[in-house]
Amino acid sequence: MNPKEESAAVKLPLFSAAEGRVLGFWVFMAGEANLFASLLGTYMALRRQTAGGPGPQDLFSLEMVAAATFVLLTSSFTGALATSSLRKGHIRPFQAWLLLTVALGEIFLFIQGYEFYEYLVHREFSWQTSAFGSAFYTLVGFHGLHVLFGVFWLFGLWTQSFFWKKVTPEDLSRAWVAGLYWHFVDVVWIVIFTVVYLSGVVG
Amino acid sequence: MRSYVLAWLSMLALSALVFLAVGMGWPPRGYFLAGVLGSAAILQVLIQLYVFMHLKEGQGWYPAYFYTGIGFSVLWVLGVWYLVWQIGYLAGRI
Repeated sequence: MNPKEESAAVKLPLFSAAEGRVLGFWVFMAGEANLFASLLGTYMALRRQTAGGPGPQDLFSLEMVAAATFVLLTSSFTGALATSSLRKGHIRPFQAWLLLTVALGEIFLFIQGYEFYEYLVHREFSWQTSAFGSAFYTLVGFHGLHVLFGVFWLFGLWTQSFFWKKVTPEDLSRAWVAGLYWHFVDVVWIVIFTVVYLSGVVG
Repeated sequence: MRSYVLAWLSMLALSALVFLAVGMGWPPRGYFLAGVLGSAAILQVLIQLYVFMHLKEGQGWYPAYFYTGIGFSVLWVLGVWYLVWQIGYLAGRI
């Protein structure tokens, strides 16, 4: 290949790292949606199989779920504000909103941990109680693990930004995908609180 | 900023509506309540996707993968649910 041809050839990589990251993340979220769909379908099929143990109407407390919902919806809002601040190049507000998002995620996990503790210790309702128990803990627990992962991820981003000044507006795609993940987890929670908790109380 | 605040407030209002509806027992339990719960959930999901996940800004063809995933997910939920229900029905247990 002579030098002239080489300069006309398309340079690799075809995608920038940022584009590849965002594209890959949408594909990843499609897979995540399938994962949660399989757990949700299983839950819907098994939710009446309580095997003499407690059922949804005996267990669920709407106040606690409403509080968890309020916290997670608000954290989605603060997460969106964090991304939008970084996009405008406002680093301090970005860090502040990010830290608030992490804190709200932790409050959500605390509420869910308390809920599981109540069920396990005081209501004798565990993963082994019934098919409903297995399906409930697997679905809601998997969502909780996703929130936990998101909390670590966002906190890691905050640490890099705050201590090492590593997250600049040029790295927007890194904050962007973390934000997409966090909103996706919130989307899953909207489905869970409607299908599991509200429909469970209605019967 | 303004659209984020609006999105946040409308999601809170929708969640408050469904929690109050179920908690206070009005409307009476039935298809209408199921419709209210379903519509509120779908609206909230759309707000999340459209505003917070930036779909209103357009992201080219990237989210097309995600739409496909959501399509398969809906099929999956209905499929598993129907399969188990149908087997239970045939076995005379429902």
